[in-house]
Amino acid sequence: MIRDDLLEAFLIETRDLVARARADLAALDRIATDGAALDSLFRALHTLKGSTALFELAPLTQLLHAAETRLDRSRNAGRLHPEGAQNIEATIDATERWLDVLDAGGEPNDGLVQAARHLAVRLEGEDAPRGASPRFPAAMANGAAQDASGGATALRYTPSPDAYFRGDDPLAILRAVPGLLHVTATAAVAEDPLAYDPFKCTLGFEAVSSAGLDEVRAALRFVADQIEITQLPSQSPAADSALHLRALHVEAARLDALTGLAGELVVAKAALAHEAQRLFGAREGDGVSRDYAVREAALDRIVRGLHAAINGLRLTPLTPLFARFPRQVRELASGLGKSVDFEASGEHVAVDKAIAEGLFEPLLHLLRNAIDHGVEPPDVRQAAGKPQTARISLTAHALGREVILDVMDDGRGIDLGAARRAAVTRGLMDEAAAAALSDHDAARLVFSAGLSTATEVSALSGRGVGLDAVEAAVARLGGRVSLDNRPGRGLRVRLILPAQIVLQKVLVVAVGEERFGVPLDSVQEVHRVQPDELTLVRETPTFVRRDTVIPLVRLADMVGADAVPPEGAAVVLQIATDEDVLGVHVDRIEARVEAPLRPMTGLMQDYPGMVGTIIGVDGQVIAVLDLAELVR
Amino acid sequence: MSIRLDGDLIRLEGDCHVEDAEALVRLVGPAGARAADLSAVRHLHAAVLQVLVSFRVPIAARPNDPFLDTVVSSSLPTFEIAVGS
Repeated sequence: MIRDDLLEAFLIETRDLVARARADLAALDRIATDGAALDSLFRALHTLKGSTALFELAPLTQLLHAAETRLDRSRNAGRLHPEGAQNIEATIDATERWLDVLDAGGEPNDGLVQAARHLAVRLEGEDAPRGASPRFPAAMANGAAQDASGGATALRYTPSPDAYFRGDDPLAILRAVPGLLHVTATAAVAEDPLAYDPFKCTLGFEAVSSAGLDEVRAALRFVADQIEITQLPSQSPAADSALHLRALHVEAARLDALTGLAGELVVAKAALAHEAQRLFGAREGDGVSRDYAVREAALDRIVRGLHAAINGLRLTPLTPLFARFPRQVRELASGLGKSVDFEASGEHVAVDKAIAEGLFEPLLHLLRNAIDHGVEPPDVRQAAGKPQTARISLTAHALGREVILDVMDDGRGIDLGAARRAAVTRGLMDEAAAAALSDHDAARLVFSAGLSTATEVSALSGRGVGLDAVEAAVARLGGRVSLDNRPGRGLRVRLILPAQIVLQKVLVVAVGEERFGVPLDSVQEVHRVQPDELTLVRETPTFVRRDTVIPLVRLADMVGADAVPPEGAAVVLQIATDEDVLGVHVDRIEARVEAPLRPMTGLMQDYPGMVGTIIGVDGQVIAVLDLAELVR
Repeated sequence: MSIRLDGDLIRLEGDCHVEDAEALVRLVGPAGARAADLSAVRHLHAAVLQVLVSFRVPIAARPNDPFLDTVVSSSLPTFEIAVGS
């Protein structure tokens, strides 16, 4: 049990560290001499190494150790060479593969172990950069300098081997240094207690103090010959990564439980208000109802505040999600013999946890699509006057309460002619209709189920799984998709998603014994339709309202419920579909509630036509339907 | 007694002097075999710290003394032992 908890914590922490290492590596890719990034990367790998040691993952620990040693040399040299960067990146990739395996409950196989060993050997074989000048302060700043906004003093203290014989206690000497922020002790590694000489000092210290150079020097004046000391330049604090590390990790399930409770509180409060309305309704204006109204308003404010605060807790940056893509893109591209430069930005944008989790598949699908269908082979690109290496970018930015994610490539774009032909071939429409489509609508054909414009089916995508899967996944998260197609020049697919889960007004309807939710904003009107108002048009019952002929479908048929509609007037929800309006016949309307809509998770995610769930007044889980999707 | 064995846990207490290093070496065993509890330590002589670092002794409980904690937490593997059931 302890091991399981430990493993869980380990996986969370190491994923964070991997993401940080990737971010640092990206920073170093831009500026190879970025000392802060180099230090941060070193610390990330160092911590990773330490964590893996707890789990008997020796080959991985050794690999990380080799990478750490390699990076230490880079820190001394003050820069990370491209070859080193490549090997470090390969190390991070390898680490991630190990984590994937562990996460899935598996054991690292021989392939992983061998790969780690080879890489470790490669790292060790890399030549240390020659002629590099040691950069001792940078090597020591080691995370502490960020606490010392006003500059700091770094020192290295190497007591003489006979310090203990002479009666010195180097640790007591160091204790006297004012303003110590950070102290690391190193010592000769020992294995055999019998061979260990406890009286030979092998200790060395590296420390950072917030005190000035002179103060530190004064405190160490008796051991001045054993001290190196340097003033560190004041440095803008790397607050982000520090904050990130100080963040509290809470088990997802607990957060979900809290979210659920807060949501139920909203509903319970609404039910109470409803009850009060019934009790006090007749006593409009008397003192009791006025007092009650005041208190209810206060309760309302608190409940909303609580709900907002908990939703805030659920916000998570896209960083871990985005960090998973560079490797995927690289592997996909090399598998297809294509050359791709991938860039991700905006990973600091925060979204609801459920949304971050639900985005991996659709984004991967889009990236895969861009590499497979969008990006042309290098020779074709060259012939078209484009650089051989294609650019694919993934960007996120927050806009109000929404988050916009763009997947952009500079490939061939959607071939509109091919899209029209494919739509005809697959019987979606006739030639005339296809030809009549605007370019925009023709491009959107890629969202039709099963439509692919690819001339050949590749191993990756284009096996009849169209972008419709992306659109459906995004819709389930409460978002939508738009396209900006530039034939021959590239494609941008934009996902627009809510950043947070918002309270949704839902109409609760019943068919037979079952209850369903329908988002109120999808219902245009509610009609009562008498049986004699119905006429059959092409075997479909229809009725007329305001000169509009509205076809009628039964919700019971749509959801497969076995229910006999009650006698008398039918209750009909008028909804807008893709091209028309539609009447949906329900047995009755039970309530109008305002509740947080929770995106579908787990198995239910793939159930079409469901946008999420709410908790009813009585605590029952109610599925909220996307009626327009359901009638398709 | 400033260094003693409590089950598999090495407890260091009060002021640990230079001569305690020898006693500690006898208790640590192979690297990582036993963890040390430093919660009751007031000061460690450098020679004692050196044993902990050389043999990479995991720290089960960090020192309360802020200075020692700074040194120990960045020089040695630390972990919290689950207490109770």
